[in-house]
Amino acid sequence: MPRRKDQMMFKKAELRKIFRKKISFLKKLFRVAGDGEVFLLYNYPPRDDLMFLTFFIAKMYLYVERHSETPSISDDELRIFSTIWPNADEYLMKYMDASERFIVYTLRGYSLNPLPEKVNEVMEFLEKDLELIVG
Amino acid sequence: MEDIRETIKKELVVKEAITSEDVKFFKQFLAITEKGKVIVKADRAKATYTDLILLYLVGTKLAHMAGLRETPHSSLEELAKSLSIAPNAVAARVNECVDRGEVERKQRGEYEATVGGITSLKERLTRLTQASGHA
Repeated sequence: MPRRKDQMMFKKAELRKIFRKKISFLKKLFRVAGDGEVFLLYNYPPRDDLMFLTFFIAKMYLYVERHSETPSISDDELRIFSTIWPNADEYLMKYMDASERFIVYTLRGYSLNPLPEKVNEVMEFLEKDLELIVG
Repeated sequence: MEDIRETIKKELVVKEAITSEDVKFFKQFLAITEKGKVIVKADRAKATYTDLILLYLVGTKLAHMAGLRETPHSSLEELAKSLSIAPNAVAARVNECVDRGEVERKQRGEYEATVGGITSLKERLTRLTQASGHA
């Protein structure tokens, strides 16, 4: 029986593979500065729920690439989100919905669901819905 | 015995039918063309994939009731194409709806919204509209 830490390391390696496979897509969505600050590279207010979700993906990316200690977004950070995206609470509710489970509660706040199949699903979701915008 | 039978019917039995009230409620989220094509009008930024799928299936059922469509059900392919959702995401969400009794699996991979599904969708969309003013 593997220990919990080993299991987490295994999951992190698996997630890293997923992120690296999708890196060209992700590079179109966000950039990260040396200090770990995230910059979104697109702005489409009618679908700012996608921008909101992209931020969670970027945080998970930083975590799996060992640039950050946590993939979580704290309550304080979320409050800042609300000033950028007035509907942030509704987006959080949507992506945490039992039928979606793209975002989950963590000890430090909220994070992208770390299950590899969910991370894949989120990427697919984002690709598909961004296609609708780009046409 | 007759008394208790009547009491049960009066207090517990729910009508398995779509009412005019339901139709009026879904008017804000759905449209049906004269040829029976279902158009989902819910805000994609706020509605989950499950909401969109259930809405489409409700639209299909209503189009059939209006005599604009031959059958009250839709295939996974139709759902994926009409809603621009990845086919595997549609399959996963529809299966979850089937497990919850919100959708019924018909012959040849066709799916139909149940009255229970319509009720739970109404509840979800009501919560959504109360939170934001409109879905």
